[in-house]
Amino acid sequence: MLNRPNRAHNEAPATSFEQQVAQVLDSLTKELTMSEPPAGPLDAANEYATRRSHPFTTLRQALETTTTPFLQAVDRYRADMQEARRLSATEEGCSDFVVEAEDRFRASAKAAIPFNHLCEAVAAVEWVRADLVEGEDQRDRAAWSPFVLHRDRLLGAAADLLRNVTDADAAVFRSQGVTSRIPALGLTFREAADRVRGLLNWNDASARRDPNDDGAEADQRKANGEERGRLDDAIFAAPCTTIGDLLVKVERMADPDIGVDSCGLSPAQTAILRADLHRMSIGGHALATTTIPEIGITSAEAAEREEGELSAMLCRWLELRDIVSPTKRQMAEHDRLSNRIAGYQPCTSADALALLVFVLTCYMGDSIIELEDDGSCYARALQKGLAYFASAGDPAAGTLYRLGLIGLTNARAFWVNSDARHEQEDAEAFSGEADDDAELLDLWRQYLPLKAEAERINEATATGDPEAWERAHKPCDALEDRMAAIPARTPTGIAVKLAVLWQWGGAYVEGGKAGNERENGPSYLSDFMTRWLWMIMNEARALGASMPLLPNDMTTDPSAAAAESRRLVLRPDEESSADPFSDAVEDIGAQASATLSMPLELTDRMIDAGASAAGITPEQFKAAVIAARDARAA
Amino acid sequence: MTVLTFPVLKRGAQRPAVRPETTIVRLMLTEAADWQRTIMAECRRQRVLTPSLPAFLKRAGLMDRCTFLSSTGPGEPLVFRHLGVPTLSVLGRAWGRSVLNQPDEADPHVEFAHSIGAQYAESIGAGEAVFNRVTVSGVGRPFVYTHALFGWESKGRRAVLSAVDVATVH
Repeated sequence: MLNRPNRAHNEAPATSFEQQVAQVLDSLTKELTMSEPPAGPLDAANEYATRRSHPFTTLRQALETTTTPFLQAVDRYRADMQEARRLSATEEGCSDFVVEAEDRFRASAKAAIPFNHLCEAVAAVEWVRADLVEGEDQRDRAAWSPFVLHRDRLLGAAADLLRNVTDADAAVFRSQGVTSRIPALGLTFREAADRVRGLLNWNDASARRDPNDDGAEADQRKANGEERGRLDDAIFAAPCTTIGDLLVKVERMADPDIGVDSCGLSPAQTAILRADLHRMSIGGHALATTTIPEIGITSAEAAEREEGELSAMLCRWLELRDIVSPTKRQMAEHDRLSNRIAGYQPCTSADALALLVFVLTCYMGDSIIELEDDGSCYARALQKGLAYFASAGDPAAGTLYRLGLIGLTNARAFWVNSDARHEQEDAEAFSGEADDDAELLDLWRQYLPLKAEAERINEATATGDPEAWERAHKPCDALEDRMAAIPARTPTGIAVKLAVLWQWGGAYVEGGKAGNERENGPSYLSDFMTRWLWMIMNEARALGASMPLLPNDMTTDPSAAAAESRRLVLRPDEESSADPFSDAVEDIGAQASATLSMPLELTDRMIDAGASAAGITPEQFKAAVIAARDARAA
Repeated sequence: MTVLTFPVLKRGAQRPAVRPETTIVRLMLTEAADWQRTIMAECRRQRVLTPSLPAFLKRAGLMDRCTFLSSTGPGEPLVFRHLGVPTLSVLGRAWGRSVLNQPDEADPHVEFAHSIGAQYAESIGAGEAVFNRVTVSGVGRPFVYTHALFGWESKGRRAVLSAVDVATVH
C-alpha cells in the first residue's frame, strides 16, 4: 500500500481560509509529484507499474487535457491589468476599463469550473493565495477583489477535482479489500470487522455448548456482546475513506451469518454513512468506463445508455428522500424512481456501486420497505453486491463476481414484476386527487359566478339590449374555451366539464322556466337526460375534490348528494309502495332533531366576530358552522 | 310545560292574564325575503312534494329556516315534523321538543295555533304560495314575523312548508 497524500475531505475541516489553501496546495503538490515513479523499495515500484497498466481515465484525463480556460482567463486578466496601469498614467477613464476587465474575468473564471486540469486547480489555488497575501489588509483587499466572489467556489472546484482524482485512484487501484485505520480502535476497518465476526462466532458456539444464562461461559458471552457493540459503534462512527471501508460497514449491516439489519444505527451513524455513500458515489463516476463483462445487456445496449444515468437517478432519489414532508406527487416520484433504480441492470462498476448505495440507503432507518415483503430481495442484492465488490479487485474471483450479478438480477426481476402493480396502485392513489385538475377547478370557480351574473342579465334583458347580453357572456365564452382546451385527468375534471354542460344545457334545453333547474338542480319532474346528467355530475364530484356544482351550492357531503341524485333517477316502482310524498315528509322529519340541537341562528355580529377571530371571510365562517352542525347531526 | 319567557315576573304575576292576540296581514310575495321567494319558486316549480324538495333545501342550506307540518290522512291533524330555527329562536327549543311530532292543536298556545292553522289550511287549499305578516302579542314577548307558506295534498294527506322570517321581537 502506497503512502497516499492527505486528501482534503478526510481531514478535520480546516478552520481558516489560509489553512484550507495550504491544505489544498499541499495535496496538489503531492498529487503532481505522484505522476513520477517514486524512488523506493522494489514492491512500491512494482505497484506503480501495476497502476500504469490499469485504465487511468480520470487522472490521466486530468493530466493530459489540453484546454485550460481558467489559465487563459488569468492571462487575459493580467494583460488587461497591465493595460489599465498604462492607461491610468495617461488618462482618467481607466476605471471603467478595469471594471470591464474584472467582469470579463469573473465570467470566464466561472465558466471554467469545474476544472479538468490539475494545472488549473493549482493556478486557482495560487491565485487565491496571492490574493490573500498580497494586500496588507487582507479583508479590504478581499472586499474589492474581482475574484473574491468566486474564491470559495474556485477553491471548492479545485478540491473537488483533487477528490475525484484521488477517489478514482482509490477506487480503481487500492480500494477493494484495503481498509483504512479507525483511530478510536487502532485497528483497520477490516480487522475490526473480523474481530466482530470472531466474537459472534465464539458466542454462537458457546451458546450451543452451554445454553444456560448462568453457565460458566455466560459472563464471557456477555462481555463479548459488549465488546462487539463497542466495535460496531466505532466502525459506524468512523467516516469511510476507501470503498473497502464502506464494504466493511455493509458487511456489518448485512452480516452473512446473522442477516440484514443485524445492528441498529443511530441517527448520527446514519448521517455519517449517508455522507460516505454520497462521497463514494461521486468517486464511482470515475469508474463508469470500467465495463463489467458479465452483464445481462449487450455492449451495444450499454453504449446507448446515458453515462451516469443511474447515478443521476440515484441523486434525485436521495434528494426526494431527504424532503421532510413530501407531497403526494414527490412520494410517487420517489416510488417510481425506487422501482426504476432497483430494476436497473448494472453494466459498469459505477452502476453496481450506485445500486449498492441504493440498497443500503433503503435500510437506513426509514420505513420505505416493508421487510416482510421486499426484505429478502434487498438482502440478496446486498449480500451479492457485497460479494461482488469484495471480489472485483481480484480477477480470479470471477465466480463470486457472477454471483453478485445474479443477486442483483434477481432483485431486478422482483422489482420489474412489482413495477406494474405499483403503477396501478399509483393510478388508484391518484384517482381521488384533484392536483392534476387544479387548473380546471380554478377556472370553474371563476366561471360559476360569472355565468350566474350573465344569466341574471340575460333574464333582465330578455326583451332587448342584445349588446349587454353579449358583453356579459363574453368572459364566460372565453372561460368555456379555456376549460375545453384542458384535458380532464381526474373525476374532478370530469365533474367540472359536466357542470359546464349543465350550466349551458339548463339555459337552453327547457327554455325560460328551466332557469330554476339550472340554479337549483333537477326534480322528479325533470326529464330523463337532465336527471342522468345531474347524477353523473354528482358522482364525479363525490369521487374528486370538493367543488360547488351550482351557484349557492352549500353541499357539505358530496357522497350524500350523489346518493340523493341516484334516487332521483330511479323510476318510481308501480308495484312497490314507493311514495315520494311520504318520502319527502320523512326526509324533512329526519332533519328535525338536527335543527333542534343546533345553536340558534347566528347573528351578523356573531358571524363577524367568528370570522375575524379565525381570519376567514363571513361566508367561510358560515360554511364552517353549517359543516360542524351537519357533522353533529350525522 | 311552558318555556315562554315573561319579561317582568313580579308584576306579571299580579296582572290579569292577557289573551293572545294574533294579527295576520296578507302581503304580496314580492315583499318576502329573497330566500323565502327562492323556496316558494322552487315549490311552485316542483308542484308535487317529492324528496327533490328536501334535497334542494339541504343543498341551498335553507332547511333549517323552514317549519314543516304534515298529516297522515284525511281528517288527521297536521303534525309538526320540522321546526325552523327562526321559530325556535322565538318560542324556544323546549317548546320545539314538546310539539315535535305532535298535532299543531296540541300547541300549548292554543289560540295562537288556531289562527295560524287557518292559514295553513288556506295554503293547502290554494296550492299557491301564501305570504303573511303575523303580529303576535300575549304569547311571551310580543313578536312580529313573516311566513311564506306552501301546501300540498296527496290522497288526503296534507303537508305545509312554512318559511319563517322573524322580523322583530318586541
